[in-house]
Amino acid sequence: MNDKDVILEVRKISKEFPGVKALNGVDLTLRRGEIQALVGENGAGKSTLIKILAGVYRKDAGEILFEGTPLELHSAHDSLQRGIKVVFQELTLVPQLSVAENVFLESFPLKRSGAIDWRTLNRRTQEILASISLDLNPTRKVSSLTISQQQMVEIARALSHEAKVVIMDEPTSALTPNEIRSLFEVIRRLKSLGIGILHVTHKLEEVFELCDRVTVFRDGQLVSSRPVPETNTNAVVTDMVGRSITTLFPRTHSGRGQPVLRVRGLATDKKLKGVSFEVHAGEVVGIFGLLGAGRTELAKAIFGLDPVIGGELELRGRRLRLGSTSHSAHAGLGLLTEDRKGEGLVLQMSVAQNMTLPSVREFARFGLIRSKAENARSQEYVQRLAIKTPSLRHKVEYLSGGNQQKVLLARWLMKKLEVIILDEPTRGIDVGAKAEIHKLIDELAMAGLAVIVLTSEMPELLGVSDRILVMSGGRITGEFGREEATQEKVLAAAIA
Amino acid sequence: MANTATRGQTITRALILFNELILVLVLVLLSILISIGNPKFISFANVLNILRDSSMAVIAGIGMTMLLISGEVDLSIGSLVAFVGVVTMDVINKTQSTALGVLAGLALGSLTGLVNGLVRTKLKVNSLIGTIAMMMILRGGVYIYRIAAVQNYHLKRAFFEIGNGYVGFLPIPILLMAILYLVFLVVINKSLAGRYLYATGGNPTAARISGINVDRLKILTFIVSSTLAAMAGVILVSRMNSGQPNSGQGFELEVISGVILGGTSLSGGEGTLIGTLIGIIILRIINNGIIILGWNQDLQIVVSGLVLIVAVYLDNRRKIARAKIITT
Amino acid sequence: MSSNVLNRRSARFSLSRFGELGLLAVLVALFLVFTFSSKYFFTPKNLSNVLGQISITMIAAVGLSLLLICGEVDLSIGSLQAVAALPLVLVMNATGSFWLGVIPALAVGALIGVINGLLVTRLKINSLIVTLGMYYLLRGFVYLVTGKVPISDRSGKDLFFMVGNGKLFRFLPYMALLMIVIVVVFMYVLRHTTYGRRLYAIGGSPEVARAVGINPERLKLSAFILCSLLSTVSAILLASRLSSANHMAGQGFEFQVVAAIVLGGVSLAGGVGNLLGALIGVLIFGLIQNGLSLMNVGTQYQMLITGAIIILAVAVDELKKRHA
Repeated sequence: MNDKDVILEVRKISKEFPGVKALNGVDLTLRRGEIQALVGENGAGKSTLIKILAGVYRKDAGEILFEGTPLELHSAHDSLQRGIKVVFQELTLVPQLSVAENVFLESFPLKRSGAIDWRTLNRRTQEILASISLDLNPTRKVSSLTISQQQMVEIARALSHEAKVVIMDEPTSALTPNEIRSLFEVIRRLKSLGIGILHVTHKLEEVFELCDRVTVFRDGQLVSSRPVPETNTNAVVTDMVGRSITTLFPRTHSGRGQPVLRVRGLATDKKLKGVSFEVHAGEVVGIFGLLGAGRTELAKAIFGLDPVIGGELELRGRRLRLGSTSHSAHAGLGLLTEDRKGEGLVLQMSVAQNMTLPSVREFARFGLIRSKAENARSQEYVQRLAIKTPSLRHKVEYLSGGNQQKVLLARWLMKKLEVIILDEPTRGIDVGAKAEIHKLIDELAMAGLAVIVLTSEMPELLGVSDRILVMSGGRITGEFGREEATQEKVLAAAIA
Repeated sequence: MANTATRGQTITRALILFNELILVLVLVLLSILISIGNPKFISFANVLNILRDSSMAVIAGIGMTMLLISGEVDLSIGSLVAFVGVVTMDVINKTQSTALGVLAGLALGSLTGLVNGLVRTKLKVNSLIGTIAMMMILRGGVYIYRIAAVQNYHLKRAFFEIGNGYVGFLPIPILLMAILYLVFLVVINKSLAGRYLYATGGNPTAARISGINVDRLKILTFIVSSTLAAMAGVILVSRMNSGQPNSGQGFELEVISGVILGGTSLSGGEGTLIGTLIGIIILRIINNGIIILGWNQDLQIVVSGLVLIVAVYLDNRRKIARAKIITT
Repeated sequence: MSSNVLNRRSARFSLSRFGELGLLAVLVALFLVFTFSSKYFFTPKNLSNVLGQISITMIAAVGLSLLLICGEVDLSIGSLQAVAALPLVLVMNATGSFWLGVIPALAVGALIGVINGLLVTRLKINSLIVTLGMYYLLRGFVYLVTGKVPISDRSGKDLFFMVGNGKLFRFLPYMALLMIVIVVVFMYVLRHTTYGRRLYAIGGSPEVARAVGINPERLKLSAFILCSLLSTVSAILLASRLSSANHMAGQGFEFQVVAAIVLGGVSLAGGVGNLLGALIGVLIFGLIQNGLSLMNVGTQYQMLITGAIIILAVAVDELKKRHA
């Protein structure tokens, strides 16, 4: 009805990575002066699409139309030049330079002599900041700003390029409520300037507070796109999930044994502000939090990977030494990290070697490893977890994501653990393998372990946990039993 | 997708197997070329010569290989070798006991390794820079200890034997090299410590989570590596028959070039002793060739520098090639 | 708001940052210590000597600072000092002209800068290792070509002698004047030109710089060339002081320069530091060397102390990073 107003159109875009089809012929339409929310669960394809629009990924098929004409993007620089600015969570600022220098990073205004015209640079930066009602000294080093302020600088950068489309990727994850309010003000200002804004988020209340339209992706495709006044939370959630949540992850039992791990007042100097909770044997505790809530920090602090400035840990009644990974590991804690390649797997080592890494001492006599025993045990787990690998000696870097994750899970299953912490155990894994991993989590609990699952995927959280803890701003802000938990309650606690 | 995985695996396997094969080929080729220039090169006596001259670098190379696998490096071994030589000779002179002298030398090595390890783990100083600094500290230190060479006033038989003696037809340094090589071959490939080394270098966080005390392991590796280098220093001082404060110049270069040429990666997590052995021998052959062909000895340093650059370049290519093959 | 811009300008000269104030304090303290511990220290002759030595170091330090700021390093500048002196002295001896000797020296310097730069940017080899290899390669080359015998200046050119030994008003070495000009010029470049700010950008966040259309490779190559050229200038001055092309020239020089500028706040990680800090670092080092030799402490102690200072400086740098 208003084709002239359409500034960006995405048609049937597909993108595939080895092992997973991220986008399966997806469509999107963005109008001038429109704030459109893009929602979908993890793996729905939101970040892949915006990375394509940012020029970071190349699309496999489909087309992008910008102001009616087809657009081919070759690089991030390209995308910005054309007028599309994506504000990612990893900010593209140079911390050692000033605000003004970052805003005009591509080209500084110069004097006739060739030197940088600081006066003009700072003045123009000031003007841009004023247009979004931001009061910031342009000569300040970016490293001295808060995340919220840095985000604003990114937006100011978009304006310095006269961007017509601004895409924000989960911008509010690390912000305080006040900062969120300021950000919304800025976004509304952008809208009044006629800029089309795509707001990627999973905070549904933001969608209804700020946006004009809400678009739902699921499994790499467009499911619905409706004006906000014509829809409601339930409809959006249904579109996002596309299935009734509870049936997918049957818990075979939720028996609860003794408290195994007691965390009291755990605090770090960066994120955690005093976290206390306990986990029982045979129980699966799901911990939910949006980006920046402190989940991974919690996992690392418990395990001793990060320095702790306060609090204590008790494992089966005994005080556990903080800050020492070898103590944690020997006491019976296991950690499946979020970043499996960067922190979990030793890529150059074989499947068997990765699996046995924490328990390899068991296979050693007089300091020498007995390969037969090691291989026999590894083979057990390869079969039990249906890990697809040509052989035990295969280097683990060649396995698919799902199988790599299984190797890591096997590693922890192999060791006699008391507590296992799983950080985003099914991130980036296809649906089939996801279900298998959830079954394994169930098995772990049945075997008597205390299982902590950190996740940002709501359906996984609700399906797998006996008890749910919600984190926000480095604190526990909510606790729900399996029966009483709903997405709304959890979300409410997550933005508290 | 499974097909690409196996294909990728075969290519890299080829690249790696290829690597050792290529090295052996280079070795053979070089030997042929040099013996054309001077047939004495291929004589049994000269081959023994080469092996005996390589023994010091190989022994130090064993330690360096382990260090690189764990993700660290040590550039101070050249200065260490000089210091060990001076101290060992001096102690034997003063105590009339070869054993004490050798012990003193080895102890100095272990101490240096300890300091290097602590600088890396406690002060968090990058080992490349830290050991360059240590190289300067030790070189300054040895000149402070003794400006002029320490002559052999003790004339102990045992001391002489270390570097110049024979067991049957086999020079003792070669015997020492063989024994240490075999021992550490087992350690690296079959022992717990070896497994932990590869894990620490391959992914320190994963190693930590698995309960490995990464700091302690690195300190130990530094100590072992420096002690091995000290052993090389003891052999050297025995062969030179005097403790010279200016010896060992460029030794670290020779060892590191040989180790990296042999396939041990600067970035950690991989490396083999056989690669190190072949790499160091190739360098030795080049240096021996230079002498036997009557060329200017200073060419040796030039060649070593060149080899280092080439070796690191190849190491890089290997890394990039493997990154391309990995599935996401 | 315009007052902020003025603040920005004066910030260049203010030492409000803790790091630099601390260093300045150390410098002053050292000065006082040496003045009281040796009667030869605070004499015009000695002070002018110190100024001269510092000039040679600082000129090369400017170049190395440029490299460190953009995230790379060059450990071959000491060997370069020996290499670059060769064409200078040889051509001077053959033609009797100083300037005719300078040209090939600079050319050689630039060439080596290009080689280092290409090895790092095109072949993507770690700059520390590549330049370490060059450190050996070039030194060996000099040994080969000279047979370990210094090549004396037989031209007897006054100009050649004056460059390194001449003084204004019998106190201020011409070298120091040259150094001041170079430092001021490059301070300007680093602060007020797009080129300079981009060096910081690629050192601080190379991915961001690339995403913004800046070509890190080209900039780094230019930085390598500049570093080598400045080291060549320094080499020419050194040759003048030695009146010869000496195969031992510059031995250990690169480590001293690195230690001095890291001490002065130029971070090995890249993106951080400025020439003022580098200058203070070089001054501190120069004072220590001078003070020690006046107290008859041999060069072996200097080497030891340099090594210790490197460890200290980097350890402190690491601490700063972790508590940023």
